[in-house]
Amino acid sequence: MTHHRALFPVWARIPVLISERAGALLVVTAALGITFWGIPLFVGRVPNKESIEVSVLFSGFGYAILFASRVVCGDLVSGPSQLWLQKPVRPVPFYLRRFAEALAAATALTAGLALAVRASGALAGWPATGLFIPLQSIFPFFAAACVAFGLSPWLFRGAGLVAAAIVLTGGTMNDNLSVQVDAFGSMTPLVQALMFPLGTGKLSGYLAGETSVFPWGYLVQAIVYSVAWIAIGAAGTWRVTTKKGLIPPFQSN
Amino acid sequence: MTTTVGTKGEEVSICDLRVSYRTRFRRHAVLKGAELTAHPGEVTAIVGANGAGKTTLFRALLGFLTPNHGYCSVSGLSSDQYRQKYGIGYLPESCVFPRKWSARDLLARGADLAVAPSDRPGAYAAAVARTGFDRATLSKPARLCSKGNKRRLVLAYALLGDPGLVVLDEPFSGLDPPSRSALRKEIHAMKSRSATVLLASHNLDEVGRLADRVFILKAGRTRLVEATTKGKPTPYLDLEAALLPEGDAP
Repeated sequence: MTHHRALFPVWARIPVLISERAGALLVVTAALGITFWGIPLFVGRVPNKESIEVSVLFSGFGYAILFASRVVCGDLVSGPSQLWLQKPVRPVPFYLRRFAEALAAATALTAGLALAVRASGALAGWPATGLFIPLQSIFPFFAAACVAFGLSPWLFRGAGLVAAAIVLTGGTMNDNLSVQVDAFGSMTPLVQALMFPLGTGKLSGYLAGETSVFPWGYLVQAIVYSVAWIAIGAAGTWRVTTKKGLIPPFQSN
Repeated sequence: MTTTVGTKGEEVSICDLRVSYRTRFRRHAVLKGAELTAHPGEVTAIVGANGAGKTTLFRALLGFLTPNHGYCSVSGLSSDQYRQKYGIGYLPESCVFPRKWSARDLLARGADLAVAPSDRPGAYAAAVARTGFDRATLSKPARLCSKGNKRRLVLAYALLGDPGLVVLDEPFSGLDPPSRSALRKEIHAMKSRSATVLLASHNLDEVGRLADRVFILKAGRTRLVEATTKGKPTPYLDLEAALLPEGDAP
């Protein structure tokens, strides 16, 4: 009988990928848990349904950025790239597939966290949460991962932090949460174009029945923005792996 | 049996290769017009002092570095095109592994990337046999292996898919005598299947035993020392003398 399948398939690689980032994932989860759960409980308030969902949503963003921001630069700086790219692979499709794996890992973790939160909430008698991953958060979630991937081949250090800043600033501006738009002054068109354009308000308004018109503009904007960042990431990957020379001389230990 | 494209030996040609690194304030030239040819079924060795540019030469040959001038071609293709199409077996001098990947994971992934699906199990089994690892060593994270075991693992990984061009950077570094002997046999096996082998080493004794042609890399330029050493070892002292600075002969 002939075998026609991968020996180390993607479903086996994703748990390894998660375990490699376990430390950073724990830090992100703990920080958000303290912010959304620990502090309210400390002051004697039971977290409400909204804050539970928001904590899961923010964790999802954190995981997506954490994984996607290391896709290219993590390999190049620490060195495994010379293992993969000596084989007959084309670098850009190879790293795009790695991005898809990172996205799958982040999605799986977020879904797992949502399930755990729901189960523990039910045991503790907290208000029941609705969706496992709020539907309105899916597009911003993917877009945030795309931002992180886009920055990954361009910033060898700090891509995750810059991506988080772009997503948080843009997201809060769009939802008019805690940050005043005026506080940023007038942004240049380039910065405006790069800034995360997606809040969750429009889609959640539709899902909550506040309006019957589906926000197609929002959907198109999310897709265009995500595709643009993937293209930026692909161009950067091509640049570092093909055009300018792949392995920096400082990486060998 | 493993059947993969690009398993035949390849003609390698490096012509007037100049590579420099840019530091913050100035450009540091490493290769200043290196020239080299390598033929199928031969072991071509490159020797040179520390910092002479051997690893840089290999990285340029692999297409990992873009030269400032000159070119590297493999059987008529640019080395970058060739690598993306057929793959090049590369044993780097030092290698960092993904943090949690075991030797087994690494070899399986290498087989996935380099070998046609129907041949993968056979190629994987051959690679595992090539490492000589027991079950425990195969299962633990590769980064926790000893230096010698890491070298054996990366060599087994590099040879997955029987590449037509194999580049070995300091292959004897960190190996115990049995592993050295096994590596010598491996290099002879590569020659016998007409692969083109390039190796850089400070171990002149091994170079003398294995190499058909020896290039000396000095001041960023390669110089052919002996066109043929087939059948008899290159005298150790000749190579050593060639590496010494001018007027510093033993």
